[in-house]
Amino acid sequence: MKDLPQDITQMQTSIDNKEYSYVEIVDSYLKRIESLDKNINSFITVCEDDAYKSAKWCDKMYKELGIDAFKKYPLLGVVTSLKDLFSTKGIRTTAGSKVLENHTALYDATVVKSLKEAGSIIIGKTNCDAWAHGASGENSDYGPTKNPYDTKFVPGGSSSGSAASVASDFSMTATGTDTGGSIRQPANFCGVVGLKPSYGAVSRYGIIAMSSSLDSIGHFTNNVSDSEKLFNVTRGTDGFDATVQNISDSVNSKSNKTIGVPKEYFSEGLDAEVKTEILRVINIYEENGYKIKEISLPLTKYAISVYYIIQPGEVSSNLGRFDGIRYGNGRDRFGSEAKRRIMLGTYVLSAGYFDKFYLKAMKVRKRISEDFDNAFTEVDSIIAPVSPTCAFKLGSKSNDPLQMYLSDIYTVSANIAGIPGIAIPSNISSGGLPMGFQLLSKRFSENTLFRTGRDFELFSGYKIPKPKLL
Amino acid sequence: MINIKHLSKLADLALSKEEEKLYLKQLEKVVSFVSHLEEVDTSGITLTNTNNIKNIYAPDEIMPSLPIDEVLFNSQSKYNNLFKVDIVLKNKKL
Repeated sequence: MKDLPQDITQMQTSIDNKEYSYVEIVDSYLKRIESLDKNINSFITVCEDDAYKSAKWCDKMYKELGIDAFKKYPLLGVVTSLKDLFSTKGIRTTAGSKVLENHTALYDATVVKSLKEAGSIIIGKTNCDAWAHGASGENSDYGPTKNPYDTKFVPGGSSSGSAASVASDFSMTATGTDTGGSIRQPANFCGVVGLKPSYGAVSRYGIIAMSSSLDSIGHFTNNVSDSEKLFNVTRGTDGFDATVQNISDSVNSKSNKTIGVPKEYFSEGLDAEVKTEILRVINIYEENGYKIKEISLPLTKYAISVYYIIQPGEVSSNLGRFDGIRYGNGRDRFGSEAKRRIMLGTYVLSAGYFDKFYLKAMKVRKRISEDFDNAFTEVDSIIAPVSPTCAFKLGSKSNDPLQMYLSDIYTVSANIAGIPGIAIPSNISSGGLPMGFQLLSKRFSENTLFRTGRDFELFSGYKIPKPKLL
Repeated sequence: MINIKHLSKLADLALSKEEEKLYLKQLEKVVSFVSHLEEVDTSGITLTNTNNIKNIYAPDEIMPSLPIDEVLFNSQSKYNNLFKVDIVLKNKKL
């Protein structure tokens, strides 16, 4: 078979032109995984039999319905990998942890069900930091995933395997979760598009919970249009997650053309090459008719603290259910990062400390949300770095947890405020690693992100090259 | 200030002496860092739910449950179609 399709539209055209079948597509992805994933370690479980079964069904649907099949099943034949937090009925689901080493999910998460019903082919479960605790992939109990652009470097986390899988062409799309940046940062490190929807846009049902007021369910794709296609399938109420609402913004041709640049995000600590690249992207927008406006997010410096109180608190509560009785191994199988977060969370929720820490953090959270509400009265979207640096070397940050936490500075605010964000790749660094930026917008305004992101792809006209895997 | 032994009991985590020492040090560092939140004026804020929705109801209807064998499928601690748990109340002679 010739080269794998790079996006959904391209694949539909090629299928229609009878260049290949869905079974042949799955063949190609599986061959790549078999020969190349040993150096990347993006998969925990590969679902060969199910993938072939789905592919045969897709071929049958296209044969029966022709191009109407794409209307009925908008993701027909789209090969997707799932972060191993997503429950998949009858298939091992580990959360990247040895606690759930032999756990089989008893039902599909809503998102998994929606993707399947839209015709998507599930190819496997991807590696991640255990319980989504991490921003590098190094906290997985199944070995770290490597960055496909340079395997001495991290792919980012916690959705490390999902990002690497799309970057490596082991799948066309992949799902992830973003609680403090865990989609946007690995997308940025691996040179793919990563969407963090608004809190309450996509159901969290069936996805192993990390921090229930911060978890956002999203995905990785090769371009912005595919991101939108997946979002239209995964979004919406399902009767199981009471926090989901069916709200979206409308975008007309005259709107959404002012981008805010937060002055607090461009101080020291931001790598010079990353900064230069963001300024270059801003320039491209400005040259093509977008208005650029400096804005202020005054509580930026408190965001990490708000996040690292609320998140561990909620983590300690959510991981309380893993007692080795109804499922899983005992709590002695928790890794050190999980234990650390459980301990920190227990402390900030405990009697005598709850008011000072958790309650205070929730109040500052409200103030941070107000910062963004104010900003979005002046601008339609905000542009920001995703991470202070490009991907870093494996092992270079694992000794100081606080250092690792501080590098979440650009991502956590979106989770705190419940707003959507999209990470978009734009260039390759002097060291050969992907660089990019993120766009943030008002709650439930993903259409603004898609429109603004697609415009960049059009204006830039440059697609970063895929990594050469060995 | 941080009572590691008390916390590990609350968290139901059995920690080694080395882990207790390490986590105490790391926790103290993080707690010290996050304490700067005291500087932020939050007077007058009572509502902490940023979700702005309330009273989402579902009808009180019985829906099908998972079959018992599936419910018990992943358990290593079961007996007679039931989950087996640690003893809660011990019978002590008065």
